[in-house]
Amino acid sequence: MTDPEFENAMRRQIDHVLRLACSYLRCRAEAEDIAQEVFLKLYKTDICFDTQRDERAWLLTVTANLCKNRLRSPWFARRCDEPTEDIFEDFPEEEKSAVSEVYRLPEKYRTPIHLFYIEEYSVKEISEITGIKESTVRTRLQRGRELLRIALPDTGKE
Amino acid sequence: MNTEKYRNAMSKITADEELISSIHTAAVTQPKKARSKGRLCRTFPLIATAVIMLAGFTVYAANSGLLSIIFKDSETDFSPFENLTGDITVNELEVYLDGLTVTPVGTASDSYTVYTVFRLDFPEPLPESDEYSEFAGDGYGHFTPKLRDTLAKFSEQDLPTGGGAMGEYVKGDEDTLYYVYTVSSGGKISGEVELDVICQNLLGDSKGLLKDSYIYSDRLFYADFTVNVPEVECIGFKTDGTEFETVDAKVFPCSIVMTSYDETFVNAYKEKHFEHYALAKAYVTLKDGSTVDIRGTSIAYGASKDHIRFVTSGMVYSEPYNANYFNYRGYLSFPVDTSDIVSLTVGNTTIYPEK
Repeated sequence: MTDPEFENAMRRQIDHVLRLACSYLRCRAEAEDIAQEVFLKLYKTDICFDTQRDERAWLLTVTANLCKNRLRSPWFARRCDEPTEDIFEDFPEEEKSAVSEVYRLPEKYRTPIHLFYIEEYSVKEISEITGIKESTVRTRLQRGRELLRIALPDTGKE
Repeated sequence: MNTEKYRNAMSKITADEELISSIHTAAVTQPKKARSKGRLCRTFPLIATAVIMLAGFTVYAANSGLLSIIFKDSETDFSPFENLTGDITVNELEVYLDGLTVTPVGTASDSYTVYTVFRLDFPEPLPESDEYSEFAGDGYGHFTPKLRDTLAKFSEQDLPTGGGAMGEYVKGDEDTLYYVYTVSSGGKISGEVELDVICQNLLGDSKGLLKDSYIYSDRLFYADFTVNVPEVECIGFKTDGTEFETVDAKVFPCSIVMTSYDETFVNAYKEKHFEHYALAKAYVTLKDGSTVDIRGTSIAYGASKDHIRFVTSGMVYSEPYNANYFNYRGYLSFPVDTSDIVSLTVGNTTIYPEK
C-alpha cells in the first residue's frame, strides 16, 4: 500500500474504526489509541482488498481483536469500568441518553447491536467479524434489544 | 429500540484532523517490514475466522466472545473451544448430581496438549458468581488413574518432564457450564490416548462457585474417555539475537516446546533465569495483531534423566549443578493455526519463525 493509498483508506474508514472501538471500550482516548494501532497494522500489512467493504470488514475485525485484548487487561478494567463522558459530552440530551443506555449494556450485547444498527452488517457478517457463531449473534441481538426496550422509554420503533 | 437517535449520535463520533495526521505520521515514520514478492490477496472472512483443518479436527482460531470464564480481575474468552470437532469417546461416565446432563463437546490436540470440552446442562439456573473457577494439578501424586498412567507411559519415551492438567468452568447460558479440561503432557503423545477426569464442584475449601445452590455434591462428574491425538505440523522458531540462539523452539497449534542441550546455555540460565522465564508472561502474536497467552508454563532442566529439576509457575524446585538439558513447556489458551503466528514472546525475548 502506497502512502497516498494508505491515507485514502484511513480517511475512508477511520470513523468506523473509531465508533466500534468506542463501543467496545466506552472511552474516546482509548478508542483513539486502538484506531492508531489498527491503521499501523493496515500500513504494514500485505493484504489487498477486493472491495472497500472487505477493507472495512478487515479493519473492524482487527479493531475487535485489539479491543478484546485491551478489555482483558486488569489495568483497563480498573480504569475504565464505566463509560466516559469524553465520547458524548457535546451530544444533545436525547442522543446522549440513547448512547449512554447502549453503552451500559454488557459488551457481548453492545458489539452486535453496534455492528448491526450502525455498520449495518448482517448477522453472518457480524459472525465473521467477531468470530461468534451466527446463532449466538442472533441471540445476543435479541437479548440486547430486549434489554434496551427495558432501559429506554421510547423503544420499539425499529 | 430507537435506533435513529443512536445512529445520529454515532455519526458524530468522527476522527479530527489532528488524529488522522498523528496516525499518518506514526505510520510513515515507522520501519516498514519487508514485503513478500507476491501480494497476498485475501478476503476478510479468512482473517476473521481462520478455520483450520488439521488431521481430522477443525478449530476456530478467531478470538471471540461467546463464552466467558470469570476470573477475579478479567474475563477470559474461551469461545474457540465451542467449535472443536475432534471426537471424544466416552468409555465411562458417572454423574453425581440429579438432573445434570454431561455431553462431550469436542477435543483438539497436538503432541503435547489435549483440550477436551464437556457441556454441563443443569436442571436449574446457576447462581451468579465472580469467583475464580479453576483448579490445577501438577505432578503425578493426585492425578486420576488413567491420566497418571497415560502421562507416565508417554514420558518413558522422553525425559521425564512431567505433565499436568487443568479444569476450568466456562459460563454458557444461565443453566449451562462448559468444562474445559486441558492435559499437558511432558512426553510426546500420539494416537489413541485414554484419559479421565474428575470434575469437582468447587465446594468446600475452594471458592464456592456453586455452593449456594441446590447443588450439594462435591463432584459433578467423572469421565473416562479416549481421544485420538493426531500428528500435526509445528513451526520452528529461532532468535536472531544472542538469547535463546541455541534453543530449539517449536510451536504447535496447542503447545510451545523449547529445548536445549547446550551446556553453556543451560548453565548460564539456570536458577534465577529459569525462574524468570517460567514466571514470565508468554504469548504468541497472530497476523491480525491479537495475542494468545501461553499458560501452564514450566521449565525442566538437569544433567540426566535421573536428575531433572522443575521450575514451574510460582514454584521453584531447583538446585545448582552442572546441567545440560533445558525444556520449556506451555500450552496456548486455545488452539491456533500456526501459519497465523507472527512471533513468540517469553518475557522480554521475542523470536520469529524460521524461514
